[in-house]
Amino acid sequence: MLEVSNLACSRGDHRLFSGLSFTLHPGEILQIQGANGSGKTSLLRTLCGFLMQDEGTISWFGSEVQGIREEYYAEVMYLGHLNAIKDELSALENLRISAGLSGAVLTDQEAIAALRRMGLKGRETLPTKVLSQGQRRRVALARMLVSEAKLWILDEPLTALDVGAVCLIQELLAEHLAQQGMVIFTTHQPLEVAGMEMRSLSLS
Amino acid sequence: MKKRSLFSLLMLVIRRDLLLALRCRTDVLTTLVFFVMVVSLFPLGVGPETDMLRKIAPGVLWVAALLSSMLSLGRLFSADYLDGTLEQMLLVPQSLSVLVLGKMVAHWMVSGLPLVLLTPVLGLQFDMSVEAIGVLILGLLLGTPVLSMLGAIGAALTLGLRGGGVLLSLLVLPLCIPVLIFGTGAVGAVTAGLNYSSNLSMMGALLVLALTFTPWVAAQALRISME
Repeated sequence: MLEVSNLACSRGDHRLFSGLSFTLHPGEILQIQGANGSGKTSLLRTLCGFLMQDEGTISWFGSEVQGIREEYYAEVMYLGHLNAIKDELSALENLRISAGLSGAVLTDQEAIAALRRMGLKGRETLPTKVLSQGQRRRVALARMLVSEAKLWILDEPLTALDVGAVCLIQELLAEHLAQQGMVIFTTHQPLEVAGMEMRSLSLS
Repeated sequence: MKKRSLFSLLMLVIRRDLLLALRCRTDVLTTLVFFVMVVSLFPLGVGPETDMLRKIAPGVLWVAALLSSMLSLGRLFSADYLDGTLEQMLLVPQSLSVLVLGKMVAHWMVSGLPLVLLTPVLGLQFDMSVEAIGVLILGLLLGTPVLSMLGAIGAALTLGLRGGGVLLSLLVLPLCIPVLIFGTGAVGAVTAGLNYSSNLSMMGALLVLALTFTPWVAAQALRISME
């Protein structure tokens, strides 16, 4: 379980938010809402440890994440604005390498199955620079299928995706939550997860 | 799915960076051609005085190696930073230092090792003796990894800055002076008929020291640059 208490964060001299507290239990999903520039991405990046908070603590199952960084990172999957895929590599190579960096060993069959489910059949071995924006996003999102992380931190996962892919993402989120996973995400598009209560947190 | 060990993470990162280098070969070739060009300009500029050429050869080769490694350092982290893969690398559940070490090793294999392999050919242009070329190669083998490792710290610190390339050279070049001194000193010693092993031992010590500390320092610098 992820516990955030009294978190404050600023960029330069500008205080983005302060006194932010919430708890996320296994099987729960939390949407971060707020206008552009209200600090949604900064909050998610703080949860990943890329930014240091000014005040407050982030705890993972009772211990502060600064102290258990490597154990915590084994349980976190982060999808940012950037796709984190290499143009020169194929979808298959990209997926295998990113799974490898997150600590898992992925066979070709598993990777191909994941890419096919993401609707990339026949494009597994093409360099990703020849794929469209939406297809590249799908390659990035294929990490959700092969990830064993408990906590998913998703920053605008739905950008550039078509209706079919959005449905697929909703399915994946539902599966992840059913396996006692946790999700924190931001989006400006409507996202429904069947049978789940969507909590939301507003940054202002 | 199995879990990865530290060693397999290291191999994964090295393989990944080598594969990327293979796919963008022009980047690699430009630094190599730069090295060959700079070194070849000296005999043309200085003229056919073999005594003079023999004397300046180790210095020229070392400075050219230093400058061409500066050229390639800019790419060490910046491409990964721009497409977001560096963020994913910071989230490795094993050690970030090991990952950075992997990137350093791959960088050396792509931009340091080829220089070492080209050195015998270039040494002939300066009329160097076989013995002197041998010591020069040994020195470069010990010294170029240190250049990659020190450079990685600079590359991590200047990540995402405008004009980072120039700043990187200003930061890293002074740190490389000991490597340059011992590297050229070893060749100077062998041509003067003295014992060169002390110079090479010092370079070995620098390499061990750099292997121990620079991955950790570069990893911390990366975390700071990502804020």
